[in-house]
Amino acid sequence: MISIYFVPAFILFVLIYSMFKGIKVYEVFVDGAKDGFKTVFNIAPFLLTMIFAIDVFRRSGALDLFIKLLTPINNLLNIPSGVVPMILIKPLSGSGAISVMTDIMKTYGVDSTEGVIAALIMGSSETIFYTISLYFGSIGVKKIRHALIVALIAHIISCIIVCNFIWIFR
Amino acid sequence: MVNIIWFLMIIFGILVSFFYNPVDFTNIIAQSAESSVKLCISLLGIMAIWSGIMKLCEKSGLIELFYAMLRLPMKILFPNLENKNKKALYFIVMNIASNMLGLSNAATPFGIKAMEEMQKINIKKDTASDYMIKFIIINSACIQLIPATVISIRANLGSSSPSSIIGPTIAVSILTLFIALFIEAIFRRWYK
Repeated sequence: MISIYFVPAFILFVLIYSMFKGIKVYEVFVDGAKDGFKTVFNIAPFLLTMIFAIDVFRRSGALDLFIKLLTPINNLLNIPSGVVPMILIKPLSGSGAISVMTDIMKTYGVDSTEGVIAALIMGSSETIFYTISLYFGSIGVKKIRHALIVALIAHIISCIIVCNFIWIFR
Repeated sequence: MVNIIWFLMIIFGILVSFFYNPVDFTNIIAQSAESSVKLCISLLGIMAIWSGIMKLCEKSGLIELFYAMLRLPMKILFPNLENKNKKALYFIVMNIASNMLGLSNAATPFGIKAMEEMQKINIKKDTASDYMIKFIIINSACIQLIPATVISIRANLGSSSPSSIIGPTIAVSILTLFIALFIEAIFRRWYK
């Protein structure tokens, strides 16, 4: 809904404001588009490398095995077994998370506890591996210090809280 | 960190497939490579367009206008950055605003530009600065005013009230953000 009205309104506003400020809109836009192309070429190898590892990990069955191994911990933390794949896939892959979420909603029901938890995880956390390889790759930073570990720990803690306090939202 | 995780993901993947679940690796590799290239090609066009719009915002001074609205929270989250490189903050604001509106394609060029500006004042060029890490952390909480994809999937699957997820999603995002900022403050001491 918001993108239907917001995007054209925003572009309209930017163009009129720029024109008003005496900017050569066409030339400046082309200049920006050039940057856009360069950026994608810069980040392409980083994306490919990261997606390669994620695909090998997922499609070899390692992710499923991981989920099985985590079952005792999940029972302890009160995480419904149905949503474990969602917690693990969300930091790795956006499209993967969408298909896992849809799957959970179909299996348990869209308004079930599992379905709502999956929706909340989908909307409240980012594809961390993608973001990190994209942003740090674009400027050539190799030592990312605690960026990944903090984002992952925060994601897991927030998922545990959501699973335990889901009754608030239902 | 990324080195180790990347290494372990592939090693585990290959070992698991050897012992548990033989799969056609050549096929996985080929499909993975193809999907990455497809992603990059689809990114090319949309990134070019949003980068064009971004350049207009930058050149016309519009980003300063947006920044003025979010100046206080930015000053708290990124202390002293305003004196070091104000442009970085402009792009950070635009990135966060686009993410909030669910325009992730618009957010990416702004985010990359913000990283480039932060890199200019970074002393060790191969190492992430405190500002960059905080920026990534804020991004990873993914605060979105309207989670459009989730709502449309819920509607498709016949939820009794698809958009009732909006409030809880914002609440959880904000919670995640505060948890992340808190953990970051602790970890910062160990990762100098």
